[in-house]
Amino acid sequence: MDRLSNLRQVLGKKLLEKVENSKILMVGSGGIGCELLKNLVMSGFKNIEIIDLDTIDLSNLNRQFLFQRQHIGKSKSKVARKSALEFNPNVNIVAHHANIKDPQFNIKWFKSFDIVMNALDNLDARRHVNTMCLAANVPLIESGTSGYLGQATVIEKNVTECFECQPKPTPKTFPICTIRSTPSAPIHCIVWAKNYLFAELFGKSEDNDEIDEEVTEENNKEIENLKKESQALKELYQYAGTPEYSEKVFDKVFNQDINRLLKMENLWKTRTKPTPINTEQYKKALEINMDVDEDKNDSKIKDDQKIYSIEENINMFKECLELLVQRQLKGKKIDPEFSMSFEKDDDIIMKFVAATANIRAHIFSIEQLNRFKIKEIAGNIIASIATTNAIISGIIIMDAYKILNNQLEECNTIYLTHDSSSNVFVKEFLAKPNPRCAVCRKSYFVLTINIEKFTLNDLLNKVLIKPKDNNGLGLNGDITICEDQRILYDFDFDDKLNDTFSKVKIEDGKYLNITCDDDDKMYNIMIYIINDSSLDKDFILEGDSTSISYILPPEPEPEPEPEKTNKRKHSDGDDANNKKHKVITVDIVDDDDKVETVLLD
Amino acid sequence: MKRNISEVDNTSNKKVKTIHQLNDEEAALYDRQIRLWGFDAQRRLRNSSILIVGGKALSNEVCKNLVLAGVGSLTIIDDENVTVEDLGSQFLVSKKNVGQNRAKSMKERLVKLNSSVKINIISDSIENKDTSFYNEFDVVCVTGKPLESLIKINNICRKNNVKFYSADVHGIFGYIFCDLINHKYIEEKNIKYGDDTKTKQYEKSEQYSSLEDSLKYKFPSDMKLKRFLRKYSSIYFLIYTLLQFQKNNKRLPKYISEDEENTEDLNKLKEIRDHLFKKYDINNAVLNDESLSKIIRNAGMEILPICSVVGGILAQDILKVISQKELPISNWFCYDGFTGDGVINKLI
Ligand SMILES: [Zn+2]
Repeated sequence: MDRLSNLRQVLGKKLLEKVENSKILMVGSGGIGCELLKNLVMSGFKNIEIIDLDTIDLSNLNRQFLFQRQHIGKSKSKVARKSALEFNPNVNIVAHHANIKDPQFNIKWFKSFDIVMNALDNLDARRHVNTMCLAANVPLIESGTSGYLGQATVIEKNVTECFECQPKPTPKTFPICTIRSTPSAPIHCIVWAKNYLFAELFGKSEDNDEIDEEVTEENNKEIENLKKESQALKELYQYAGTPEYSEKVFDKVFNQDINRLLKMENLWKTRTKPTPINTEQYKKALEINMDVDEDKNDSKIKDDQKIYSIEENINMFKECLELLVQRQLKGKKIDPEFSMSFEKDDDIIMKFVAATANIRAHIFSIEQLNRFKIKEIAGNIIASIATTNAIISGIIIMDAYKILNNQLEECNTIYLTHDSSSNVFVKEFLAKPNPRCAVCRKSYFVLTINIEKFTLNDLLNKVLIKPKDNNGLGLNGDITICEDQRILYDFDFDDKLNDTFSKVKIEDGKYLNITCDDDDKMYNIMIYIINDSSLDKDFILEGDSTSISYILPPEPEPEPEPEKTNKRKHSDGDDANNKKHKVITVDIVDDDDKVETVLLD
Repeated sequence: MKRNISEVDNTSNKKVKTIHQLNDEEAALYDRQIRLWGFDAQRRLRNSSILIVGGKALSNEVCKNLVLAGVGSLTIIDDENVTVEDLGSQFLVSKKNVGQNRAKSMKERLVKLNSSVKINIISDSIENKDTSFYNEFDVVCVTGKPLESLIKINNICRKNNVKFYSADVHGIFGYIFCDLINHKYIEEKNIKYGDDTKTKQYEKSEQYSSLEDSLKYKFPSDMKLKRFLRKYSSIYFLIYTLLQFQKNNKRLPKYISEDEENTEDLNKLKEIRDHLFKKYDINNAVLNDESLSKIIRNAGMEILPICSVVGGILAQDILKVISQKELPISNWFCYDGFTGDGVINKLI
């Protein structure tokens, strides 16, 4: 009897051996990562590498249980490693406090793993790992959680859908006129306060990614006006630091601009008219509430849950604006380009945004929200709990067992639902790759060369055009060779053909993207370069040239897909918008990354 | 700090408690979950008292989750000692604890997870505790006990109006049973109006039955196999057979090896299945012989990935019960970690 007795009996000796000999990469050691690492070290895995660039924050500790108070500010991956080793000292864990996109984590490195497990919180890194796993031909277990919901799935090149086979929905944006002229919901006021008012006053006004400024025939005149309005607000900056600045800003945005809107009578035929707040009312509010802070003893938690009166909000506006202006003037003294960006954990900024959002809500007769809620919306905070992460990471281990046991056909995409009526999990068969997917339908090769000798011409003639039965890729058509966005060769740019790779700065670890346009067919190939200065032949090409297949052009209009019965949720639904799609989000928490809501169905 | 349990008022069912309000520190720590279930629910958790019977791997998972969530107090009772095999799945204990009491050994790591949760350890057998012992708990959750003990504890809890759970993991299988007597809860529905979402609340209640009664559930005998399997999970019958086996033989089935079947135990399991299936005219395909031999291989073998799933669902359900939000499991959850099926069956 030993530590592994139970596992040996349940899994069988053979599988346990495979598990013990496997090498696992876990990307991310946050919410899912902590649970997953605990499961890995307790489930027979002995060789594990983990990577995370994040540090530990107080709000992680309710679920990322490998971390404790004394670890706040330290590297997640390093602390996770140390804590997990306490559970089982007989495993090898290598921890990287780094970005998975760093060049040292190249294809060679990815190829050294038997399975890669994503425990990530952002789309960008997920996409990167997906591509690397496809290129290195390593199975990837992808997962995500959000609140009570979670999911896990397996991606294997040429067998299943990859992470990018289905398009990801773009983050929600609001039409500019809804935000600036005709708000009707609390969120419109919050977006206005954060992305317009705060950004215009203190930030770089270009970063308005939540407002859709598309110009149409109906709105082009209004957009012109709105631009003038923004300009006028900016011009008030000359008064910054003077006692009348806050009054001028208030009058501009909560009086003059509202009065301008009121003149556009057709806007208010079907809507409730807004009520501007003039300077007199503003001053009165400040007088009445000179001692508004009498309940300053209130705990923050109570304060955050309170709905303020309009007078309290006006006082809050003035107080915060003045503090922020001081900060701004100080900053500009050192750097004239100084600007601030919205930061949900900055109390003053948060109070300013909450107060101005609520003043605007008051003006437009829209429901006001408390600061707790406004922070959640403005900061894109996603709820996250330990139990969901534990459940999903248990499922990930079971998937890993099946992959190592050559039972990929037994893997499913599994969704954890928040439905207590019958099925806690919804299963879906792993889908086949989308023939139109530009990521996984791409062919991946590894080319080992001596970059001082090998030329682009060699690549073209000895590798790309050369027939498949002669160790080439057999491409036939207009070939373009790129490194990222840089074109190295195409049919009317052959100046660099005789240059060596070294001369065109294609060094060890770089990737070349090659497209071949053969009339209606498009071939897409990625070649990963390894430099070997002692190579005794021209090149070594690794990859399956018979697998090169063309990518279908994107479909013009996606047809609405009929709902499949096995996917249907049987609840009459807590969220009306979830009916058709399962919303799977990621454990974003500690930074202000955009919320990434990935709809999968 | 260890609390002397016997000092608690034994005479009445009423729990006199001071209500703890959340402070700013706690609000910041629990921020990401308060956003899910709200301040009110968090306050209820903060004032709750839970008993976990058994200290093996499933218990480790449940305790970790409950402590992280911020329950008021957690009492763990187990009279057995940590074995070497335990180290393979119990992440709250370590090598130095081998030979020491299991519940006691869990405490050190649990306390580190969240120092504001009061953790009480009792290294005694639950069988030695009398009726009054259960009074101070809101929820009692029993793991690793045979059927008779489960029924006995469940009936005591029922009498004292304490919510009862039993749960176990056997290899790739797991189950949760719960008897919440008559449970009142709030159901929330979000309704979208354009860019605005309103939450509507409905007061509801659910009637539960005891484990003893639930196991006597009368299955309809005129159902076609496909429909039957859509309504009832075959994993339930697997768990049922296992529980009955343990009751009849005072032990779990014994696995011999990959090459040798334990035909004696297999036949005993078949008998139990046949007895139930004949009574209700249930098709043997619901639980075939192959599945029965799988039980033998998995019985009593806790493995952590499955504990992680079942313990996650179990802890979340206990949190649901305490916060009185949404319908908890009613009344069986059965899980097969290989197929990934996790089904709730109402056998009341
Ligand atoms: Zn794809």
